[in-house]
Amino acid sequence: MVPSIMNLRIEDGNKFRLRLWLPLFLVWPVVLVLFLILLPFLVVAEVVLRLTNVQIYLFRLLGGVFSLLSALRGLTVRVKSVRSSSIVDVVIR
Amino acid sequence: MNDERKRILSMLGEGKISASEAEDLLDALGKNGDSQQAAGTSATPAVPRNIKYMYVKVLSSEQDNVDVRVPLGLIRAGMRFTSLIPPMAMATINSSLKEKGMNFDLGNIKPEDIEELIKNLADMEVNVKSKNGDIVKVYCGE
Repeated sequence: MVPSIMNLRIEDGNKFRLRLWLPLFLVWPVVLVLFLILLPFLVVAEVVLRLTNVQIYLFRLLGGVFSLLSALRGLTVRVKSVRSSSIVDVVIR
Repeated sequence: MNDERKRILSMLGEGKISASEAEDLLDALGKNGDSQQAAGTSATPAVPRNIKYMYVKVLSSEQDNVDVRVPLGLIRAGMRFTSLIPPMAMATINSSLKEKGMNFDLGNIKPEDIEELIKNLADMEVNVKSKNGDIVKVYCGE
């Protein structure tokens, strides 16, 4: 299942503070529409690659990228420095 | 109570780490202690657990903490990418690996090999404690 939300928190003492809640679930429909628009071009590119015997499989590559993005769900990175009061927090859900 | 446990609790008391971070670290220590105990008392192989994540925890003596949770699915997806490498590039990669002393054919990696690798990661545990008190822990869990 694709990630739906990304939380990003960056703090550097009192100098800089950034807290972002990124609704990835709004991005996926846009990506889908873009994919559908580009689909005919991708099919043509795939056929050309097959005819020229170049062993690059566009659709398999796209599938791989999609599964890589899907696997990001659950990734958490937390870095905290008490000395410099800085925090970097990335959570993908 | 061992030194690591005392240190984590004192850091919690001083407010340097949160309760949840302390809990995670104590869990990791407990898990380590349990597995060491099991290895010392029983020769029965461990039942494979349904592991989902790889955890990397760094607790430095200067109070810089790193806590990373990587879904194992990401490793699976990354390994699958090897099947997308064109054969010509694969030959170049394999010969480069061989030059570096790794006689290893990337093309021979099968999905079942990846599953076995991930299954066996459940038993993997890396515990590093440096002289200056930095602690690094890498383990897999649910």
